[in-house]
Amino acid sequence: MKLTKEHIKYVDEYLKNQGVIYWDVRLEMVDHLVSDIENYSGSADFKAVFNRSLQKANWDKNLKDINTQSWKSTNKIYRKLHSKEMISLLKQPKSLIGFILFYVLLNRIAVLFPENLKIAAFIVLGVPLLILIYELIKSWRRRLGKSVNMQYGIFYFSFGIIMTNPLLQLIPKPYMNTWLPLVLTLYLVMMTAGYRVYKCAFKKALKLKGID
Amino acid sequence: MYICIVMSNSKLYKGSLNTIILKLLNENDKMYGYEITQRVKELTKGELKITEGALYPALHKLEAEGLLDVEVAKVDNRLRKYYKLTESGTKETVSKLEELAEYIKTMQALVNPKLA
Repeated sequence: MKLTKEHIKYVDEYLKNQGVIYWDVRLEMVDHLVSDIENYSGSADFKAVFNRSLQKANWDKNLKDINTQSWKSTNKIYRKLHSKEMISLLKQPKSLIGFILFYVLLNRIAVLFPENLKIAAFIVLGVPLLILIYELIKSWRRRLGKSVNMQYGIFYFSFGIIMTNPLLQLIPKPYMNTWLPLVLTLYLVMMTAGYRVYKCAFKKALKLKGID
Repeated sequence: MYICIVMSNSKLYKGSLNTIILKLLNENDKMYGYEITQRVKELTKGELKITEGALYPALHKLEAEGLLDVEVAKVDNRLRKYYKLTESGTKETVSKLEELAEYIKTMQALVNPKLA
């Protein structure tokens, strides 16, 4: 049974309506179901064969669970990648020297020009944010839709902000000049690793969309 | 009775799923999910059926570990995700197969010492 474009759209819409909200999760499921339907050599109509294929794959129920399961396993993959990137940044002599120099520079500003430390902090916190906004616009223009890969790419890119904010709130004001250079250096490491993870997710989403 | 056999076999095969996937990809340049399930069914004459719920998470895990690479191609109005072995995936296949052969040998010694 050869399926038309409309049949394939029907399969995709069905999975979407049943709770598989990410297209990059549905992509493989659609191909699996369509391949199974096309392999069918009997005389039943499309809907009957489709239901048979859903049952065979055990996808006739709990589709929301499949979505959640994919969401969790993708998180695991990106969380691991983020940690790997952070370790790799700290292991590479070039980047390690860069981070040490960055810390020393902020520390010098804190000691010699404490009144300028706040401005330096705003710049350090702001630049990655601007890059994040630029990247978000770029991905929006590529019409990548609801993608689980993109969702985690963006999450781990902004992970540095999420983690740094409470840390900054916790530092007592008199110790701000001592701790701020260290927290900002940590923020830079997390944001750089997050940026690399985001780039990886973006590349993957483009690849899965077939537009790389 | 039939269900029992399939279920007990599934438990025995569960730990070998990654090896099965890697071995199949080692023999074929690239494969997609449905093709893997069909090939396993064909090779084992229907004795072993890889469930979709086990296959796709395993493929994604192997991909995340860098053992598999992904290629997407448009096939008959839809996108198809192909998996292929990376260089480290090929090395891992050799080691996994050696591991499996060793396991079979040990089991053979336990179950049928005369043949071992």
